[in-house]
Amino acid sequence: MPDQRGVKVLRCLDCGKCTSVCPVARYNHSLSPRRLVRQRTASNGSRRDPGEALWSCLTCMYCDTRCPQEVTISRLMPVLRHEVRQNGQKPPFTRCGAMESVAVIQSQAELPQNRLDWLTDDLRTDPESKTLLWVGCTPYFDTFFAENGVNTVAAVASAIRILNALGIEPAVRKDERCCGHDALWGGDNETFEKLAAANVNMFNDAAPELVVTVCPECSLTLGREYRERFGLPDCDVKHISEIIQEHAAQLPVTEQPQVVTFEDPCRLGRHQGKYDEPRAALATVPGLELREMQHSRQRATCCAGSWLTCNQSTKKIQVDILREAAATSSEVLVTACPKCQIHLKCAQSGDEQVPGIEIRDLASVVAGALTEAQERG
Amino acid sequence: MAEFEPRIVVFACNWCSYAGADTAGVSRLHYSPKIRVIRTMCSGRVSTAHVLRAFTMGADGVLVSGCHLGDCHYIFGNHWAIKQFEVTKNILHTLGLEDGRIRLEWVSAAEGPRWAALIDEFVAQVQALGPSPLRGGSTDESFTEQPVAVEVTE
Repeated sequence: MPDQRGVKVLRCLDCGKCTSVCPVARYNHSLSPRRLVRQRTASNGSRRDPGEALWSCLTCMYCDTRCPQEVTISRLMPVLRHEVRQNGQKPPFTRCGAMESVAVIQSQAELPQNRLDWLTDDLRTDPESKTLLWVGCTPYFDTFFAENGVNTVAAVASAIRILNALGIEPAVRKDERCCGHDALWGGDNETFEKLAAANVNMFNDAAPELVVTVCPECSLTLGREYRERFGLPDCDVKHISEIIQEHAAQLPVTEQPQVVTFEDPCRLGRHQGKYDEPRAALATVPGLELREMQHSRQRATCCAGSWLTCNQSTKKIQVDILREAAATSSEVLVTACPKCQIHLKCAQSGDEQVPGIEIRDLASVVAGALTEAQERG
Repeated sequence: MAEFEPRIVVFACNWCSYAGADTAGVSRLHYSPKIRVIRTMCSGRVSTAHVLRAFTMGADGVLVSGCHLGDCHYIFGNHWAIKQFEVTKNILHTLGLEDGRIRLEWVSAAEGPRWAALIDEFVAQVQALGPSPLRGGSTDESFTEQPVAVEVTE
């Protein structure tokens, strides 16, 4: 992605639709996608340093979908970020850059990671299986955000339960590394390439026929970026919601009377065009009523989460989502992305003004309705 | 091959541990020169990110030190340090780095001899573990080069 050929900046008409829909620009006026694109078309001498605003873009693709000229503004961001990194600039980073360091450490050496400590005996896995369940960074997330009540590993465990219920015992691997999604979109190409090379080696070794992820960022990176660059993995990469949708008839589920609402993750919805899959997955659970938020599907608001910035404006965006969710009078806000869960739970913590609606992962909701889960109590 | 020279980063709080190191110095105590001390205002300031960053930059071990519990200049700073250190320990465990590469210790301004003994002990401990895998496994580069400052980003 370091070249900007696919971005088509010269087609820009300067209409400003991108900035008018941008969730960040709503609260943070220093970011204007329109201005960033226009500056890109200016001659080299008159280009201005985009400054801090560059890091506040969420690359959620809302602007891309609205652009009448099909300029892919979100794809311009890694290019710009890579350039300013070359000049020695660094993102402001959340948590002083701890999440970045975790990815960098994984890229630096092959370490004997203890990323599967959470596996319990009732989760059946098989190292020889041709279905690979991608764990992603969830064990790290849970350690970092334990005080916010984040439990993203539960989503992975739930995915294993769902696959087990379908008679599949997936493989999980210790030598898996971060997919490099954040490094890629944050313009840190070096780290991304190292991580990708290590993971491609792993795919060569494992030769899976199907890769299942619980994180849409991973499914986007493995399924699109890896395949475009390295041709691997040479198989289907699917988000767990697609698996649930495909096998809806075979899933032994019991009734769960509950009203829920769904937050479309930008990486699953706008980036991969999967709006119906998570809804169909929720529909497999009888008794579950889905109430849509005011902004859903193509118009969904991004959870405003990246490890590049976290500030007042991102919190306002998150509070907006939580208020919309609460306005549907649902009991649970279902997300299909570990990052959405982290950022929305973080926005809830320590602030009584923010609606405390329960946030759960899609896989956990479906796994909780499995007949065996009900029997287990 | 030259003997492995560990690179160790020590975060010392301004009010106790750094002064403890000073006490060791003015008392002319000998201790290992293989550490680079970074003074912070409080051990509570040393977040997981700083420790991880030291490792990405090639440290073999990281020691975080502050005032004894109850003595913190900022009252609860070292309690915060314990909390953050717990996260750091878990992250490093998940990453697969040895637990012995990091340590949290309390050293008061009067404990010069303790500081000297502690540093020697920690250096020996890291020496026994060998070079950090993040250094690419090489043992012969290193101590001739200038100490690197750990860049603090916020």
